Amino acid sequence: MQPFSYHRPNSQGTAIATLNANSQAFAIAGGTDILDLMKNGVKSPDHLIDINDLPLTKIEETSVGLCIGALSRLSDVARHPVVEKNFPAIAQALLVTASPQIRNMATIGGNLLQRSRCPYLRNASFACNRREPSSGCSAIVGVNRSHAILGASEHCICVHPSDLAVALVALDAKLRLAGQDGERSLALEDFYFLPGETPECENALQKGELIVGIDIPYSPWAANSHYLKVGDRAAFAFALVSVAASLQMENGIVRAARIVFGGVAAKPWRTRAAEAAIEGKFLETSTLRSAADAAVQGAKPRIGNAFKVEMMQRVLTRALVELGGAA
Amino acid sequence: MSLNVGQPIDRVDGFLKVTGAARYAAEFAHQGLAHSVLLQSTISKGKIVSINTEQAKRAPGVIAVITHLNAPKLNKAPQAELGGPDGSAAQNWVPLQSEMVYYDGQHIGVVVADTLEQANYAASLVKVTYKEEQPDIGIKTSPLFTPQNLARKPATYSRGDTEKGLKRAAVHIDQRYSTAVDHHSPIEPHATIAAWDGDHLTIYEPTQWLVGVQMALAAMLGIPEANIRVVSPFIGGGFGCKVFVWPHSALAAVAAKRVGRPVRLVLTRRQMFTSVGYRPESSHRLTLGADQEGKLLAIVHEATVKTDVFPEDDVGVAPVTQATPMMYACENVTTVHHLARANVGPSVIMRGPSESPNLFALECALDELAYALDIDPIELRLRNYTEINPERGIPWTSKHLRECYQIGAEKFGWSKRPSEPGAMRDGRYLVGWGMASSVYPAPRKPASARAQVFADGSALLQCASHDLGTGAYTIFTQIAADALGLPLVKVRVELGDSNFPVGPVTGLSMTSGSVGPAFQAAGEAARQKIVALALDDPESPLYGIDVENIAVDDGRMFSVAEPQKGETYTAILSRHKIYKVEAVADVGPGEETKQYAMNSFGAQFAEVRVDPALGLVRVSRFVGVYDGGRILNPKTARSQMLGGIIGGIGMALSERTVYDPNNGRIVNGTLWNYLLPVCADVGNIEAYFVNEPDLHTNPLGVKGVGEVCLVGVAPAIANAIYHATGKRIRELPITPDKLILTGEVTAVCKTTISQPKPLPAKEKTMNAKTEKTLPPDLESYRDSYAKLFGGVPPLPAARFDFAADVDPEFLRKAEVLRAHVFYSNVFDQKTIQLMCFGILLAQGVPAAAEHAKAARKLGASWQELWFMCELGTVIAGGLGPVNQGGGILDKLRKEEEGQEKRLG
Repeated sequence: MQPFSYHRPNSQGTAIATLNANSQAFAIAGGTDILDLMKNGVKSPDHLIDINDLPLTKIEETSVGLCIGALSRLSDVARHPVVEKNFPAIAQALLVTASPQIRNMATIGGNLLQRSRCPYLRNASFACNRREPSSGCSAIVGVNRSHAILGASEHCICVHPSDLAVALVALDAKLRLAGQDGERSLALEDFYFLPGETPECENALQKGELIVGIDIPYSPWAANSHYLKVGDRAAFAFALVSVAASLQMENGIVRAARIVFGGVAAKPWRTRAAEAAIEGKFLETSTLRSAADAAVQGAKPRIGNAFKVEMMQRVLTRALVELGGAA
Repeated sequence: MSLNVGQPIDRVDGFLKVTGAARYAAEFAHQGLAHSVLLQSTISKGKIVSINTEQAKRAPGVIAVITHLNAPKLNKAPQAELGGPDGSAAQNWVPLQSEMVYYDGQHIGVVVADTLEQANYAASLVKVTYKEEQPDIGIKTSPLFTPQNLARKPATYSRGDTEKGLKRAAVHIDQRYSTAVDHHSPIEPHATIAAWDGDHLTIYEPTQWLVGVQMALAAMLGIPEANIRVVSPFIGGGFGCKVFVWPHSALAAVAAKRVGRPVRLVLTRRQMFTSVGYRPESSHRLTLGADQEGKLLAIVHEATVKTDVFPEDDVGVAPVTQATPMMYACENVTTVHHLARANVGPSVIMRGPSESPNLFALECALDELAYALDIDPIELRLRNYTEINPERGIPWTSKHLRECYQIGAEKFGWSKRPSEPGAMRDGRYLVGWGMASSVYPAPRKPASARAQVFADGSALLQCASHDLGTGAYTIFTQIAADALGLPLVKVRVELGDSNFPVGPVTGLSMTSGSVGPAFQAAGEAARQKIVALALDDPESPLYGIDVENIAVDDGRMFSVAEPQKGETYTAILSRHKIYKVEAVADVGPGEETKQYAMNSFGAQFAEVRVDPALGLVRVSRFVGVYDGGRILNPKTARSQMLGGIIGGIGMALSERTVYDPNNGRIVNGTLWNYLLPVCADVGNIEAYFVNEPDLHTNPLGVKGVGEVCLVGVAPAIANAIYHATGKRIRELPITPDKLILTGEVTAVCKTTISQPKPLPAKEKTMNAKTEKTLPPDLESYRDSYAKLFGGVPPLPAARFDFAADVDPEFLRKAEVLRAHVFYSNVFDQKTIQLMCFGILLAQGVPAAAEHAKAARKLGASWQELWFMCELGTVIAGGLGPVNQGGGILDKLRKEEEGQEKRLG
């Protein structure tokens, strides 16, 4: 680990100013990811800005939805009654995230900013374009069982590890980002970048910006949402494949749908083709099948992760059955 | 009198542990302690071209940076050999002696600084450049050879005539199984504090073998064993990785010497994956033949284990075929054991070494046979039950495996099991029940203990033995209390210091049976001394009574006939002004080891719930029943059983260390990526004991249960998964992807009766179409050609086809010779192939082309190959070799380019 200086500002303004003033400054909240990255030489900030004193821990109901402060702990959000009742996919995603101890430390904002769990990214002695541009991608020719089958490029095939982000995209969540020039709002779906030619550009967070909150709108489909995850062990494992599905049902017919996959791409992978395949239809077996087929269109599996194509289809089918489809 | 042994006593060290007062090796405070960090290689094969330490040396707090350029000479220490008495080093190679790199994570330096953070930072400033070579990696692609001996026994075993047995068999099972690389991953990482006082060295480290550390470090450092003291009072889990001595311990001593201060060295979690061994990958081919009644007529077990590049380390490899000849009554058994030499770190024993991979293959194959015959799996095992060890032709000291089956079946409810796969459901889950046998040797080693009884009526007993967390402190206290006739609270047992009387390694399930009798004998000897004192003392109420008539309870000696006659230890010792009475006992095995075979046994029963759509498996229920002789403490023993079963669940379902296929480096050396079972993976576990004392094994009647609880768990789970789903997964771990991609094979079973199963699909070879079935050992030899050349070349293929019928024995002998030469340790594989190419080219033999191809696969450059053509030309004295060679190489290059295009 490199030496660094530690700051603990008590206002949002100071925090943002400190982040802006230092080229290698990085924010720390729960610390469950950044400390690991620092210990392993993956991230070496000169300045660590501890934002835990900022007043960003509130979970508030508004007339249009729920606003979750970025410093809310995963465990608090998972058990919040409004979340449990109106946004079940969020509670479900959080309860299959990490372990109880980590959920007590990790924050909502930090969860969305955690870096990929590509083992090559997290071991500084391997080549990784995302960590060190133009050094090469070890995963493409290496061990890629956990890697992307959608939206990848020849420069990077890693996947985004957050369960929460997948559920939030399915619920049309928006981020509140605060920087030197004030606050802006951005749909979470548009926040993450696919790797393309520049895998080192992971998301739309600008220099000196902080995630300060997440707005989740009430919608006719939010309460009928479900998150399902398949991992290599029963808890405390990153998703091989996961899905968040959110359906507005009317007399057995799907009026609106959101279908978003985790574990298959560098961002939560919303598949509008699968949504279209079920919208306006009864959730019959044939509909489920066509949704599953649509979901994997364009998938490019590698040697180690071909199973994910089949797994995506099975996970989606199961999630839709949970939300009222025909078994 | 036996008051405590056999009782479920709470752990005597429990309070220390839960309050944090138990001090582990890295926690010992030292004045002026310096901190060190290991530097490790980031390639698997090659050499260090340069190692720049200038910046690191200038970093704050740095005291020393030690690399191969400035390290002192370290000697090789005798290698630990399973079944052998000699060495204790876990690997023969010693670090920092040259620029060569043989595996990923090899130690290449040590940075010492005032604080850990300073040492870490400085370590990040060391710049290393390498000349990297293509490593040998895969078990299927690395050079294969058949060693003479493994674990002090011939690596190849045969009795009867398996060929005849297979011919007579009505039903055959012929399948391949494989187990993954698993890492022990104890929660406490290895840590060493080395402190010199003149030429005396004190080592604090968690070890399962104090004396072993003395032996190995004395050899490596070139100092007398007597100058080394090893302290290891508590161990935060070992499972085998702390059994033998790893070179980092010597590096801590070297660093301490260099800086003239005590030095602490703690491995990081990633370094735990590269530095302290693992259960090696194994692949098996199991061929069973049985008659219609299920009587085994032949067992052929051929296995390969991946090992490192140091031939001296081969003796430390735990063989994975040794249980096959002794498990079942079968007249015709052959086992063949190969090793594959690869650029990996050394393996080491891991809980249930040998038997756990061995029985995965054997017990799954038995299950397949049970389905093929439509016989209940327990019934099939009973029909092949043996009371005599069929390998050695001698009886066991005791064998209660039959009772294990019976008790297990009853507790589990086995009689309600429908035999058909897929017949039980619970909602969306398929439910399956599977079982497997378990076995583990019950060895005994010499041990000594000292007992001291003090005038205040308390006692202290000591042995240089160890408590891995298993409860050794507790059971030894129980044994000593009973031997001395003292209550538990008056007895203190100390372990974990090499200054105590010598104890054996704590591993291979032998501590209770080896050290327990030493504490018993020492306690009894001390008691006899005090009793004798009383019987000789005219002032004692016991004066003149026959020693046979004396008993001791609660520290009071009394006449059995007249219990009111007696006095306490305290009374007699005070009267004689004796501060303490001391006795030392040395005990060990005798002739019984030649007369009897000694094993613990077990029966494992698993219930799984499988979500068939998502491929998710949960072990919802597990019942294990064990014959470990007399159970000294059912509470600590049960805990140990639960831990072993959970270890088996991990082996079956999630644990697997993954190596990069290109550079051979470990990819998932972290606990978020190497998946040990978590609470949610573990259902309800029940553990039972037959609890029949085995007094032939040792005077306590205990056989040891540390490993037998893990062996057999993985096959029981795999068999349960088959029963649930009809899917037979023969490759561990059984992960969701394997389950969703494997087709159901439910219907196949009964049709195979009296019809040998077709051979499994093999790797594509050049003559795949005409390839004929060979006996397993010959088949693997033929495979070795495919691995080397990318296919079996036509000439050897024809040789196999023809000679296999006419004179298979010649083939075997020829292949042993060929293996001896081709996989020699004198030259590397690439050089051997280059030389073959050159020699055949000079002779004008067309097969030169095959060796050119093999050399390319092994990393030869075009320059190297062309140089052989030039050499051939000079030696042959004409342009033939360069002409022919040029043709061969040009064709080969075009082929390779064509392949790249197709792949691209």
